[in-house]
Amino acid sequence: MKRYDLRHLKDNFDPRMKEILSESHKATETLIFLFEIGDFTPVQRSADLVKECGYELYNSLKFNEVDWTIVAKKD
Amino acid sequence: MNNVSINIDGKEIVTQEGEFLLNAARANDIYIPAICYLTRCSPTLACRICLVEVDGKQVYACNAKAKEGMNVITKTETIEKERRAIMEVYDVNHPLQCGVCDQSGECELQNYTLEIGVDSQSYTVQDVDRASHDWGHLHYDPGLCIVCERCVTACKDMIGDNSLKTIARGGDPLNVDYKESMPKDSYAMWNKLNKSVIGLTNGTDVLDCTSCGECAAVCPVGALVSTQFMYKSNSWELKSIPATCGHCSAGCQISYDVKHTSVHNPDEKIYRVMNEWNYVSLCGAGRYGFDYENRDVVKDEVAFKNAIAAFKKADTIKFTSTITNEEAFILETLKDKFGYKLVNDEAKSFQTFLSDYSAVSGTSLYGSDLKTAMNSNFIVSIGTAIKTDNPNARYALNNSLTTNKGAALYFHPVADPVVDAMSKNIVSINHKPLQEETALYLVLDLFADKSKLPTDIVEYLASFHSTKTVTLTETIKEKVIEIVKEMKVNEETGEEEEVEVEKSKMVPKKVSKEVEVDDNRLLSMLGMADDFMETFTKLMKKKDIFSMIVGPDLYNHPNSKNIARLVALIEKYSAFELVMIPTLTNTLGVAMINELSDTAGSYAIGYNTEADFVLSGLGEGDLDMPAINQQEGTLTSINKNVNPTNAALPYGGYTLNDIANALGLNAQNTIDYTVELGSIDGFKAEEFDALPDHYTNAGEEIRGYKLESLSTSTSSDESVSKIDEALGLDGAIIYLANPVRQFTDFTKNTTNLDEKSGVYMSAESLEASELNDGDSVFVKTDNGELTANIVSDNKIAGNIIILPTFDSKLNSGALVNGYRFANASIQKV
Repeated sequence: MKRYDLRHLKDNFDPRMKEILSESHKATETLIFLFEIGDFTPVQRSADLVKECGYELYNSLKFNEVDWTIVAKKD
Repeated sequence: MNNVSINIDGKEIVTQEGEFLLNAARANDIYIPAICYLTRCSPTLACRICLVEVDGKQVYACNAKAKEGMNVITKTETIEKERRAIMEVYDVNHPLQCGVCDQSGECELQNYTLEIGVDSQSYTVQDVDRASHDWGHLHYDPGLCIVCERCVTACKDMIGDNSLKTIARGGDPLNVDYKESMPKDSYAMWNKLNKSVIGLTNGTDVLDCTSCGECAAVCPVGALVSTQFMYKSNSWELKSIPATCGHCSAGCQISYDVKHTSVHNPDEKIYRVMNEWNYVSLCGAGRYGFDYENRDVVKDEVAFKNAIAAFKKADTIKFTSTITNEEAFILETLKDKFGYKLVNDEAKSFQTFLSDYSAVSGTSLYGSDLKTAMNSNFIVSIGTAIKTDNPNARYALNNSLTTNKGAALYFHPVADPVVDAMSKNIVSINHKPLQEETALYLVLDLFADKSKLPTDIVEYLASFHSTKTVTLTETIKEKVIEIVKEMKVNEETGEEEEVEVEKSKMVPKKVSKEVEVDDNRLLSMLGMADDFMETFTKLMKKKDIFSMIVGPDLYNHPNSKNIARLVALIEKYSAFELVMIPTLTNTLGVAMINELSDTAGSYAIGYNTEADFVLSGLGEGDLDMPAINQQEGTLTSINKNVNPTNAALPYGGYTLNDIANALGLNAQNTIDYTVELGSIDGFKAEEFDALPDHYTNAGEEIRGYKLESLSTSTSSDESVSKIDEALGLDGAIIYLANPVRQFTDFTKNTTNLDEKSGVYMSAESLEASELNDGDSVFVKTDNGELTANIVSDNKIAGNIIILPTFDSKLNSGALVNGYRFANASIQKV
């Protein structure tokens, strides 16, 4: 399980997330990302990115009033 | 209601016919999960988790009523599947913020999720943006909300503000396949939940209510939280100190939740006030007005010596009723020992009123309490600004109206939009000040059993009645023959031609007729609507439990003695159960314990009030005293209960008991006097530590003990004076009352209660005048004058000016002569 805190990237978290998803990970590694909710579009954008990179979105939840978290995994 | 026997899970229990099964089960320690139901309020059926099976049929325990012989099963395979699905649904998209959520550790979502064992999730729906709302003293996070609607229910059924409602949320509909695949009730629950969030009834995002915070208290999750508490502490770090609220006579059971101030400061601090919201509802003062302690006090030996010297010099002790029974007892003992005059004007008025009442009623205390009022279905309120004099009386009135299909008459000169909005079945009679006797005579006339009422009173009441001829207009249906032209085919010629045809139809017609009707002059004297009796007849339909609430306007009325006798007659000769609102926190206790004098002598000690030498729990006197939240002792409530309260915070200074000991009394602690109260009529000789303080699962209040109402000697004299019809104030009028959430200097001293001191005027009266919010005005009466700024208040209506009493520096009491109303002039300065 690897956790990536992308909250400091504010709305521009996608390039870094894509970079991470493109890196090689152990098989069935669970990746957890944290990013800011912003205008709520990051929620769908993160899901789209996970799919685009060939991962499965296991969970996508509000983490607190301003942050969101997703869980992704590649079987 | 009859008792019935029902069987729940094989256990035979007895309950009242018509009682909700959930309440019956709880009262008998049988557990049925339930989230949305609030005891004392209407069932909402939002959560559906209280599903049970009754004689083979699934019902909701919160709204199914007990009937003789019912067989109830609280758990079946189907029910358990529903409950599991319901909890899974509540967990769908629920934020993962337990680590920072204020409710964590006391969250019903956490508890039920664990109890039902939700270890996987079967359902999904795309989440939607649900940003938080800043509602002033409340913070609403719709992301955390499970839309159980408890907040809406509490606000409507208990508090009466009706400020919250469910509103449309938007977002994706549920996957249609769920309708088939999911258990039926969980799908129906989710389908509604998925479309809703909580919003404000005023259509804005600015909350405008009486700020009690009860909605946040009842919230099972962290969705609605008090802003002052948000992100301040984990619930499990707090220590709960059981107490009685010290702000008004309601005597609400509360707990002060305390812990150290910070890592740098080990001093205990109150973080919040909690309540058993199923059984007691707090007002904003009780909820948020908790940090009124007398802080950082140490034993000041010089001040103490001065105090002892002052007591030796004094011939009078003045005090307020923000005092425990034990302290009142100490004062009484000191009075007996040293001959002090004890002066407490508001308690003296109440004591005299009670005594005058007893002369006719034959009992030392009024017969009823607010719980009885809450369970009634017809309430009459006279002589109290009910919303602010005793918020729990207001809640009882509202709850009776909303959940018992009740009706009410609210007699008060000050129009109150909050009271008016409670129900369409409450009629406010905004009579002139000083007409309270007329109102009481009207109640006697409308409700008393005239076959038993003394003949002279019956005759006097009859003298107000006459017959008058009125012209009534009513609409009747009349048959009218009309000649209309129609096209018809002439059978002979075969041609179509116009013919005249007679047609009859029923048309409404207004007719006037003269009828003789009863004319009750009491109604017109009180300025009541011409059609009041028609309204009254409608209000009285299906009403069988009657309560009357009377309040402080009556205790200082120039004719208070006659009024007390009238009140007693109503209780004696009608179906009304009676409750009186004691003026301040422990006015009833003081009235029972102390022999009070009318006037002060030449040198007075003041306890929380101005005098030659002042003992002050407010930290403003010559010697510090503890505030109520720093004291152990008992307080006597409107419900005639002697309730224990504990010290939430430490106090380092001298107490009244220390002074008493120095003057020759002997008690280690103030609460040593709790048992001594037994020497006072009505009180019991109970040790403080033996006093219980809890509610049972049946909602029974087991707190302290009930004052005993004693039989008093009465003469057979039930005479009452006739109405002085010349009485009644017109013109510019002031009224001594507080805004919501304020009672005394103690509430004024708290951080969260930010109501301003000043001259309160209704928003509508300001609009119609040349005065504005914030203007400095000079108010003058025959008794006194003051200058203060205007505060616009939309929680009152009409033209009467409200002068608060919560700020002693305003000295509003100097403008009246006892009675709370007075004529005044007001000028901009």
